[in-house]
Amino acid sequence: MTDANEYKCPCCGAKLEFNSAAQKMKCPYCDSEFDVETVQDYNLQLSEATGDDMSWESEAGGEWEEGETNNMRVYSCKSCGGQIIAEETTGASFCPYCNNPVIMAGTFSGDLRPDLVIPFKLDKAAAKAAYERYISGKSLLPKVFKDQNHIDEIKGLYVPVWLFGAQADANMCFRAETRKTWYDANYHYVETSYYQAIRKGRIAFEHVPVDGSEKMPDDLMESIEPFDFSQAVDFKTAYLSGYLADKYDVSADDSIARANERIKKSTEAAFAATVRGYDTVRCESSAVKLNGGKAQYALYPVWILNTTWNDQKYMFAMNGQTGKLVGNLPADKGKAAGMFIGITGGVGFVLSLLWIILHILSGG
Amino acid sequence: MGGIFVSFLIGLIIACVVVLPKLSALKTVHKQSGASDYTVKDSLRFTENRDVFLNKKVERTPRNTQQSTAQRK
Repeated sequence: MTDANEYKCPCCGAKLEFNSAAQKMKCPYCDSEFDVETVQDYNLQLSEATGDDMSWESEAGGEWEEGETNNMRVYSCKSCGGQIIAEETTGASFCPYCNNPVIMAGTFSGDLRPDLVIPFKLDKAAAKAAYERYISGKSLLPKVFKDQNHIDEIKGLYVPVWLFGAQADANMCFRAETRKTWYDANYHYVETSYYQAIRKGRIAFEHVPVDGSEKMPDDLMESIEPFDFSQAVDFKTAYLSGYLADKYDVSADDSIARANERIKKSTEAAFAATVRGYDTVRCESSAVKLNGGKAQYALYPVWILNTTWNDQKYMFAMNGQTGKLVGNLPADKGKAAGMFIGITGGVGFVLSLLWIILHILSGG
Repeated sequence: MGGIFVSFLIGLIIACVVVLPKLSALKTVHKQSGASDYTVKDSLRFTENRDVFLNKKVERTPRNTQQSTAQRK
């Protein structure tokens, strides 16, 4: 069994949580605030002073049968001694018995340690308010969904992402045309001029994110982009306190294909945008080669909101830094069909009437 | 009859313009198409950037002079 980290308040001993508004560790009981570094050092000293009397805890794991915990880890809560069973990718969670925030430090140690983290800037109340705004003003959303809908769960989650940076060397050829038309007494003339536009050069990309978690849908994660990378800081486990966090379970190698796809598309678009002054432009050939590629491992802040309606689960995600919220909503198909038929019939009827009146007036 | 058909066709087009954006506003989850948000500012540099003229072609089609005359009337 492994110990789960907690950060104790130096004033009252309660469990500290990372406060997204103050960007500091805050005690929910005595309201004391501390810098992340101060708390890390304080708790490090505490753990070093009491680190040799916990051996009994490691023996409790013997009760699990072989293979039973292959994809699981068993942790011991330092506050109440409760057993926390979590997936091996879980990096931060809450004790199910005393609800104290716990951090599975081993999940993010050694080679698995993230390089960077973007701390949460927005809290749970902001996520709930964003959701309320999101579902309001949507006339084709079923009214019962708005009235009966209650969020089942709101959780702040640090999602593992791979950040790719590279220089893209591209060699592209475009076929471009200009057209000029005129006429004389007998003929229409169309003069088409053909050009080849050659573009060779390079463009750089940095921090292109690719979702490193299998549980987090890739399209949902990409929908809440962009994140402001300038606010990323060196990873410290204290930032995870009070949130959930997962270790990556999609490797950097497995994420490269998606990064390449996005970089190639934007490289081609940037080069194509420089072919100007023509009536039509089409790409004839393209070769993109990446140089100096590097990957970083980071944790991005996301609020996940889950709800159930008509036995169907709906998942929403909010960027914990910018507040951008996305999620697919159900459509009131009857209302949409009614609106469609109503507008078609209404406009068609009025215009038909006008046409008939004009037809009669013109004596047709 | 042609005028009535066109009237309802216009109604159908207006219905599409009004209803389809409302439906698409309910679906906001989609993959990003590229990585333009992550381009390093002013990093685009060309080693070769030229447009080459290849050829020119002129096509000539006879005008419908009768129709042109009728339109002028």
